[in-house]
Amino acid sequence: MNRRHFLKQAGAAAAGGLFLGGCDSRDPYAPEKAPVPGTDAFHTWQEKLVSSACGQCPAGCGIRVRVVEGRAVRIDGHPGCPINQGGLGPKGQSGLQLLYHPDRIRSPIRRDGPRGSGLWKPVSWDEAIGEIAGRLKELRARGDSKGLVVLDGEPRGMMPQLWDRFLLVYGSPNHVDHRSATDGGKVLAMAYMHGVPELPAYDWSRTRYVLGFGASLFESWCQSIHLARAATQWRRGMPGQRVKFVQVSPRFSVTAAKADEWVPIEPGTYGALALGLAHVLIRDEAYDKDFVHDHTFGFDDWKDAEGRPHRGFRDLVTKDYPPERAAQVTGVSVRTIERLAREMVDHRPAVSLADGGAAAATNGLGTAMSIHALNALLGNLERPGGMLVQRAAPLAPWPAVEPDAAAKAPRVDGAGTDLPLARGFVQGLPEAILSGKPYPVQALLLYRSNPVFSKPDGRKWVEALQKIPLVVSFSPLPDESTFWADLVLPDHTYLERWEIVEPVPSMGYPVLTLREPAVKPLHDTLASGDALIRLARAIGEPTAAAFPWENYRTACEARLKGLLGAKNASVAATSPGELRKGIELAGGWSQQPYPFEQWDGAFATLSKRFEFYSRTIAKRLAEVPDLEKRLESMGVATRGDDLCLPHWEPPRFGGDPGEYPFLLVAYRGMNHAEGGARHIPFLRELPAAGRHSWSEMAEIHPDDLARLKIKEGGFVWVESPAGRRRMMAAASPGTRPGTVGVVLGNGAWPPARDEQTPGAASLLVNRSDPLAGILALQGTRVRVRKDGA
Amino acid sequence: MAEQPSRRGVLGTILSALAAPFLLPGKLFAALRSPRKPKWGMVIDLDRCTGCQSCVVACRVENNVPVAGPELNEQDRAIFWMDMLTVPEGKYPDLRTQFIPVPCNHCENAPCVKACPVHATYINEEGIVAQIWGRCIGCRYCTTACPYSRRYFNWKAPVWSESQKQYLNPDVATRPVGVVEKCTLCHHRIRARRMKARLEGRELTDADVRKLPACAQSCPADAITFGDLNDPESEVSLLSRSPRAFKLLEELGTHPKLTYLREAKWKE
Amino acid sequence: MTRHLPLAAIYGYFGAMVLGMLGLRYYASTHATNTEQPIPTFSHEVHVGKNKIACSTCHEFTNLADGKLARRPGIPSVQKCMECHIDTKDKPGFQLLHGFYERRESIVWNRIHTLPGHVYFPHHRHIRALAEKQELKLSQTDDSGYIKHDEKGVALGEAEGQAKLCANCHGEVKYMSKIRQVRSLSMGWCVSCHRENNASIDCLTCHQ
Repeated sequence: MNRRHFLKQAGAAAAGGLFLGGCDSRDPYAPEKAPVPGTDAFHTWQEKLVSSACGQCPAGCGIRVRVVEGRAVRIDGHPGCPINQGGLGPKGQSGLQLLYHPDRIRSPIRRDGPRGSGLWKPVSWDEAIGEIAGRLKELRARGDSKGLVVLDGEPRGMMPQLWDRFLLVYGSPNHVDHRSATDGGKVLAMAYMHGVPELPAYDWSRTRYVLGFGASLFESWCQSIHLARAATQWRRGMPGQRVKFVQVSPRFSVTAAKADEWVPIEPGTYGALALGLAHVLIRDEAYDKDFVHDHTFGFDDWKDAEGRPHRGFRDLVTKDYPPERAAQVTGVSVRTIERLAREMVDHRPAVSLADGGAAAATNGLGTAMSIHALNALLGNLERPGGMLVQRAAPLAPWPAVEPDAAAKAPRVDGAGTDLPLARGFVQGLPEAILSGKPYPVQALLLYRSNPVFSKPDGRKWVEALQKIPLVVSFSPLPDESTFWADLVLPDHTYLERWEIVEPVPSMGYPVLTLREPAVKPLHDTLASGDALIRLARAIGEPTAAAFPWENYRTACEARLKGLLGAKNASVAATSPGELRKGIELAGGWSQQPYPFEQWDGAFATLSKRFEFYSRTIAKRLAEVPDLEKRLESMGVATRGDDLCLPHWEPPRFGGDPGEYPFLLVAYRGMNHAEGGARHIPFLRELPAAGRHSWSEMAEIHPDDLARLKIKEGGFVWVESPAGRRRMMAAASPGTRPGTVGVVLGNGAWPPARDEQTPGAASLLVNRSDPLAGILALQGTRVRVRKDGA
Repeated sequence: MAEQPSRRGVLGTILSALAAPFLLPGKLFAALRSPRKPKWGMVIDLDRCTGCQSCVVACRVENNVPVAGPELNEQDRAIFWMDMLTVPEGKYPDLRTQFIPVPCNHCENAPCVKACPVHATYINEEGIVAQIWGRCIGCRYCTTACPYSRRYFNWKAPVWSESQKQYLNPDVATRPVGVVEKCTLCHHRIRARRMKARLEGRELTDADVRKLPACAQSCPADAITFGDLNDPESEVSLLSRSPRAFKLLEELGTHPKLTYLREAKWKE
Repeated sequence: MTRHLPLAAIYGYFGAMVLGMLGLRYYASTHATNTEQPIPTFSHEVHVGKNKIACSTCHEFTNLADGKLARRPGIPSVQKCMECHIDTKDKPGFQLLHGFYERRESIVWNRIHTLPGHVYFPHHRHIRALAEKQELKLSQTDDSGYIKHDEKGVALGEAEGQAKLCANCHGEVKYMSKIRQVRSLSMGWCVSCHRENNASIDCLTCHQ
């Protein structure tokens, strides 16, 4: 019998394999036996690749998990997924350390002692959900339903929609997300100028010039993995013909290092630079006149229906932001400003984009609008290579529900009332809870949220949590906030649950990925979607009727039906089973190409055009009683029409410059989102962070270190008016002199209950854009003191 | 009586036999030889790399490299088969930073192999500089000899909690304390892929191996390419002949099989 | 008498040797390994020797024919045992087995043939190579890929041949009521066989 015959006979035998040997116990130098429990005893040697979606960040990359005998041993990118195309970021790679994390909460637990005592008692799911349902039912019965607050850390997808639905029926307006503390500026600029309250998308593959304002494209941009792939296309071709990427930022970040050009700038002055560039474009008549004429509103001066004259964008920019003034404010030379403007015109389509953190200052909304407005001047909106509006996949809607009247009550965080332009104001919650105004908070559900650690005023959060009668956390791991909870209902990790994933906007055309469990749940945990459905049922009417599905998976599957027979879909299917198989095989569902230049549906503003002058802002501000007085008390310098236009005013910083000489530049790195990946050892030990990567580092310019007589690697106290934190001093040549760079999200693991400042966020003075509620990440002054001195 | 071959005839036969290899078409000649062994090599495009360090984590997960923890890491004793060198240059605001992912260079003239007193490290028939953990006596001569510092000594026994043991890759042995370990070019993946190809009745192709090692597969920027340097048409061969190509510390004469691509930074 | 003495001595000598060997054999079959298995009465002798069941019936990834050949032989699941023993409860061993089945537990067999973790040993490559060398007849399978067997579940045909193939490393299990290791499984033993058969002796072939 020849070899070929054997090969034929063997057919497609399972390839690859597992070999586990024991070692001779007498030999102390023998390598350790591959420590895989269970397999020595029983090996069926079953290996499979499970198609799923990553959940380590909101990008929603398609993944394939290698599962050997029920154990997930490897996660790789799905080659077919349009987002990552086979690649996967470091967070995604280390997902197994989350799944098999030794500190995971193994079953629902109830507090078995006073708040914060750390004493817990395991309870059954029925008992835990029954208890919460009882409390919420009672709350609703006595007309206090609006006292329920859900703090939801998931930016997009099924879960936020389920929470919305639940609160709508239960009767509470308080679905608070984290946007105002992350990328709220960008979303608000889109909401007021485009009419679409969503992150912008871009046609990455066809753009020819990218001007990033602190845009951490390769670190913490929501779609960094897609960006890495897109940037490989930018790098094709000869200089002058290929894409140029210019990064403007105070800190020399990884993205700045990888950009074609880096322009250092004074912190908090991005808006002035953008308006300076706009000035040059308008002055030289280099802007896209046709586009501005056909599709925008508020460029020239105009008169409203009552005949009152209003200022236009052209007037504001021409009069107030000549390049000389922009140069003086930003520290970028006039020559550079003129050159960048010329380059953008010469390399059309060019996009201008900001990072969430860049627009996070007390002048956040104006800054984000200014950066956004450049795109309209260049006429690249809705055009190939330009800026797009993320289109939603045609998912079938859930049956409509009857909203409770109380769901229309004013929000407890003041968004829309105290802060007329805000859509959410998470950092204002502790104050609202402690003061009991506008009304007391009766119950708080923390879903993917750890505000004590990730938000400013950590101590205040602790006090606030203690004041709320019922605090429930859905965290799969213990954290600073679960310490103060009454009940913890641990969620599945993303490798254990079934759901539809809507990735954060990036490419414009609709993309979906499907998350399917790679392994059986390791512990007695439950997907929060399931927990919510069970909770809604246990409460009874009216929420039970609004959640008719058997479980979270069927709720998702009901929506998937909308994809059947969709036009231009990457997965053509006629039955749900076929669709699922198709998505698994393709690594995701998408609908390409993007419908360019469809002007009818592009803008959802009041004028149905791109609004340089936002009429929505004007309308909102007109509703504010005593606007002038309010603006005065909030410290807003801008008045009148300028508030509705892209504008810039000097940022305000917390702390006296004499006492606190340094500016704090808080940023998000590749490995630490603001929520933190500090529980994942692989991400705490990345070689580029150096050998002190496990410590929290204060990045200081070497000259400043020398002046302060601090040695690199020595410990310092970084002190702000809000708090102080012991950190390791790192000499960082890329940090702007006079600033201290601190990465958000790093911190101790396991979390410490008694720490005064639980995370670097506690250093931040809790300041926000006074009208829009955007947390000023760039708004704190600090001083640095040698430890022990 | 059989006809004697003429003198001229014999000479002609010998000459044509000698000339045959040169006259025959190259491909036919290659087919006549014994099956060609591949020589594995890698190309890393620094212009594409975005410094995300996904390759670093992918390598550690795939090869069961233990996490060092704060103490060992402070002592620079953490193990990174795939490391990310950051080379900052200049003074604010005239700054430049190079991010260089460095796995083992798999030198053809490897200093580590010469230094090993017990033949625990050698260059295998496919060009992989291999380390046989079981044979290593932990003298660390090789870590000293390697000009790229791509060899790591296990200063402590690796520790995994019971739950963490679950995710260990069953295809790669864990290493004990006291031995030196290094990049294997994901040899176990090559082996498995070759097995699969043979079951399908064929040999490995360039498309099979282009993204085979864990680092290459995970790279979001598609900056890492792997392949057979003996195949002049493979992508890795083509790229390693690019005008952008350079090797690390070429002047040492180690002849690395790892090539980097980089061009001067685009400036106005 | 004296003339027959040498003969008696020779007979006696050889007789004692034979007895000794038999004794050793008996001892070996019962005591050579003191590894106690979770079901002590489980016997390969009965399964392979008496009932002539092919190795690949239970160690299902050793079957060359059905496309499931894999790196590991596969230890049968309790489910597999119950395919034949669902109704047999008459001996203490079966009661133990049914206990595992009812508790939905895997039987944690004690491992006899072990190699250190740094050794890559793929069963499938070795089975294929040895089968090629010994020109053994392979498992006969029906259309659905199952091994043909008679009414009693005894595999047809190749059981002998396959057992012979496996015996190269595992010894004649059909005589072993308790499995024991008959080869040293040392590196020298591996290499000598590799040399004999012109298999690669590059370190990376086996070391991982």
